[in-house]
Amino acid sequence: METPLRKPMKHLVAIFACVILAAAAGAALVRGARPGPAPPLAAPETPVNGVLYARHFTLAQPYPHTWRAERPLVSSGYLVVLDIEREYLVPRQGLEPVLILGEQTVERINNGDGSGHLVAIVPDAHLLRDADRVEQRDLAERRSFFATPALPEEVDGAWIAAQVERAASLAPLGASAREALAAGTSPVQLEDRVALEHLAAELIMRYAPDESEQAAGMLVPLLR
Amino acid sequence: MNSLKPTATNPGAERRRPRPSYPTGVLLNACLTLALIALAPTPAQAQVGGAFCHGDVCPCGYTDPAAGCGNLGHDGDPASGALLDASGDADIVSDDLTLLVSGIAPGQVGVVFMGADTMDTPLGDGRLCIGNGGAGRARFSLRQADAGGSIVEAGLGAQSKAFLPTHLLRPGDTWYFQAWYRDPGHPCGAGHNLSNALSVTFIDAGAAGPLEAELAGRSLPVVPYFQFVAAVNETDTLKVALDPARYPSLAGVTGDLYLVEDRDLATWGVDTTLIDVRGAPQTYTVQGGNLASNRFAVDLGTLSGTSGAALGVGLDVVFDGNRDGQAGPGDLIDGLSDGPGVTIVRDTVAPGPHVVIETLYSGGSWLGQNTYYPRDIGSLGQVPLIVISHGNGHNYQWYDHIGYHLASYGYVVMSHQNETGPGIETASTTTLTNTDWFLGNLALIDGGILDGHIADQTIVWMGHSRGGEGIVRAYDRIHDGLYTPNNFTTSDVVLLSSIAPTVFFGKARTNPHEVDYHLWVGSADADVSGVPTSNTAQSYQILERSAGRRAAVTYQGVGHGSYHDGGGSTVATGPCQVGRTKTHKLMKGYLLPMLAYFLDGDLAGRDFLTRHFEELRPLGAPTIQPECLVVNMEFKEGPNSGKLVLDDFESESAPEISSSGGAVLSSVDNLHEGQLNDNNSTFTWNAADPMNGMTRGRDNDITTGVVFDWSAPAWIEWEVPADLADVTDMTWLSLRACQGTRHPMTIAELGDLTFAIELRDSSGSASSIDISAYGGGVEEPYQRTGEGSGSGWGNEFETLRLRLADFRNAQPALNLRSLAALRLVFATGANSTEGRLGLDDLEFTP
Repeated sequence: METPLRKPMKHLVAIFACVILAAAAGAALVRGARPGPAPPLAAPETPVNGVLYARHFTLAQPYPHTWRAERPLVSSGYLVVLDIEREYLVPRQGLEPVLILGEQTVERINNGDGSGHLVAIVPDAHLLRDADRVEQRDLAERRSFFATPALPEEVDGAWIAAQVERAASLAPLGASAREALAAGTSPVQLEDRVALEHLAAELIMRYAPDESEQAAGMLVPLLR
Repeated sequence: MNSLKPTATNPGAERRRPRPSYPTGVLLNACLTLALIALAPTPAQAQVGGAFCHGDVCPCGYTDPAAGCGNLGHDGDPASGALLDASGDADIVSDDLTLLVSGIAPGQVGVVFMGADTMDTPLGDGRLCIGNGGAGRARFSLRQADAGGSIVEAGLGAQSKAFLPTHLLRPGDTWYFQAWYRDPGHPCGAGHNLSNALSVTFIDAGAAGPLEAELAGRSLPVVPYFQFVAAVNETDTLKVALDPARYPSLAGVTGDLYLVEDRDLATWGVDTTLIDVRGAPQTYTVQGGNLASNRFAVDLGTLSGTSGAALGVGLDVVFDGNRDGQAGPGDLIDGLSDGPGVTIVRDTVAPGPHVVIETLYSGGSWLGQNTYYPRDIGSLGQVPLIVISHGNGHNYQWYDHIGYHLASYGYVVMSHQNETGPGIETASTTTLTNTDWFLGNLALIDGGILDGHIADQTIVWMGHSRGGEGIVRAYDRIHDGLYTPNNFTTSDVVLLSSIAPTVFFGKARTNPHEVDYHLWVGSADADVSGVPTSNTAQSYQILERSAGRRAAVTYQGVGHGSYHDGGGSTVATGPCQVGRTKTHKLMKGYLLPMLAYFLDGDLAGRDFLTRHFEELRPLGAPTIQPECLVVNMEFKEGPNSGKLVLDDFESESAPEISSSGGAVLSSVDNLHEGQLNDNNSTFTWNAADPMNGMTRGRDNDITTGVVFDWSAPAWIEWEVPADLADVTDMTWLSLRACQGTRHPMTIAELGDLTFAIELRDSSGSASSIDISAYGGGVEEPYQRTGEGSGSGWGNEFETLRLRLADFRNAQPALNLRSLAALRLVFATGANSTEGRLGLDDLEFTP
């Protein structure tokens, strides 16, 4: 059994992460406000400027994708970092525009409103191919956009398909996605979602260091 | 609190008038007080209502062996007679015996009379059974039977003072009572008749042992001149009031006033020695008159409320009338029954005595937990568990202010990762799974130090924003059988406390049901903002759905982000902003009283949830300069409390009829009854939207109330139906009120709204109290702009709770056994000359 973190240690992790990753974060270190006034709604439009990081993963133990009504089991997908206009990422309690990438709802891991960098999980949509006739595409060919505000847990394949159709005129992610995939991160095989979350936490520290407290909270000792 | 007195019984009355069903607590209390009588050295025996002279042998037949001889009466049945019944007790000092004559034809006159002996002779269509005893009979006032065919006679002792001295009701004397009445049309033809008779032996209950009485509180400058309280902050002056009008035997008595450590009833039964916590009692001579002449300070704020981790230090207040240093016959004790008479409350903002350990760990995906516990948990037995579920975009490590504070008072607090991004269902799932995992894996956390020390049947769920709705949804799912935890059940979750919750779901999915529910709202919230256009943003809707005990605290100037300690924006809009640090102090100030009341039934804690912030604020609560901090408290007893609901506006849609079936009369303007739901998209005043500013319900919700306004003297009155007329087992008159935002009358007044509340009995005696007497009134809406033109945010209800005893103290002739009406009176005296008011939940509560 690992030893749980004490309060001073919790802070040390956060401070350590900030110091180590500050340089890498560069200009992204601008700490924006935490939850603030509601962002402008947009549906469909794409304040997604590009892909900073992308890595395909597979899991030995799938988990349910809770960001859509069907709760498909996720055994593969992309762990990505998206560059998005910050005001679109301010979290709020009411309905938020649902972020879609390709034909799939995106699971947001961090807020990203301070850095403009959103760490996210994009389950492979082919998991639903039989049910929804969704065609899998390369990451670069997919579009990413904010759809109509909704609770993601209540949207289903038909809703997503309608939103994707409305976004057909948007440009796909294109070069930035290809560059991100070519940047040296090979597909990774992981045991389970916990391992995936640990990878995501490391990305938060690197790309959104203002949210290192959240990352630290994802890396606390596991008691099993 | 109940007096140390026996309760009236009258078996002969069962057929006609079923006795009221008393709540378990009242019965238990009665049992305990009777038990104490048994412990007293010379218990007096009371005898009330021995019924005799029934109509089993009548002048021309038409017998009725359960009442008087048959009459045409109320039911038109010539074979059923009038029944004389008694309620209350025979303690002539408290003088609350009430005689009720029923079964008379409505509108016919009758009179109760009494004598010192008995006889039996035909008179009219009945039998006269009261003799003159050599000194003659005495009769009470001639009265007219009401629409139900009843006559009520109360205050017998007081009325007897107008009789000849030989007929003054005194302890130890036995008197016989009967009623004569007119009964035209009966086949026997005499046109008048009599009821059965009752014998009553009067006592002085105080002679049997100490009496329980309200004594501790604070002085008021106007009627009712004194407020009896359960809580006093440790730096405040504690006063006592003795009321010779209530206890005539006190007049002129010089006695010793003791403040003693709280004892329960059983302890008082075996230990009557008085030891004053101040070192010595203080001597006081009771003046004539009433309590206004007998108010005096017993502590100037020197007593400490800080003891261990308790909310405060409980005291019983004793007036030792014979100065023998013992609690004995004739003495008064505030706190005689279980629970203190008054609690000196500590600074609830300051940390408690326990050193806190914080630990971070994870049980897996979405099972990250931040737990706070007392370092000496091993010596604390089992303590309640407080679970915190954060909001969307928030972090489970952002609730140190709650975790450290409550753990320092001996609670275990666990804040967990909450999956709010997808929605409320997922959030509720992580509340459920984290609670379950925590309880099932105590052996893994910090080496198992918590194992065996969690009171897993005392779980409190707190949630913020989406998490605030998530905890309610989580409870709802277990309640509805949609989710079955492994390590707890719904009955183990004893309190839900939502902080600025969203309300995505309707009542079918987000419903606290009968569990106790507590709500925190910030009027400056720029996220879950309470705007009229969004049900999701109207936190109060969950409160309205609660069917258990419920309470809410609304802080004007507090934003959504102020409730956590994650830094960044406070997500606030509007004037007089409180900020995060001061918000945390406000929260801490109320957390301990909230848990003390809901978890332990501590009435001092309830004081903080019910008394206005203007008169009782947590010690250590911040101020804002210039003073602009407004806090509104809302509280409602649960349906199982035994309360009597005069009008909840939910079962009668016509404003002229109350939900209890009585008439509602008024001279106010623009009276409208309906759903507490702003029906358009702005807070701009519009006469077509009379419920402007109400954010309490959505389609299909049943929460309803009334609104009205006035610009000249006006009133609104509720008839008290017969089945609610006896409120002697109740302690409070409770209602909730709010101002109507942006209404011209509200804008014109723009300050605390005040009015008078009047109770009137069936004899016409009335007692009136200005709500401002206790300090403050109904607060003006938060002066936030937006959502239309003008200033003023949503309507904020606050509960007004007035002790029924205050009305009687203000007017001793008021008979609380036979209330006839409740009236609100506007624009009189120094009260608001104009205003717009929303009103709901008129109740008499224990």
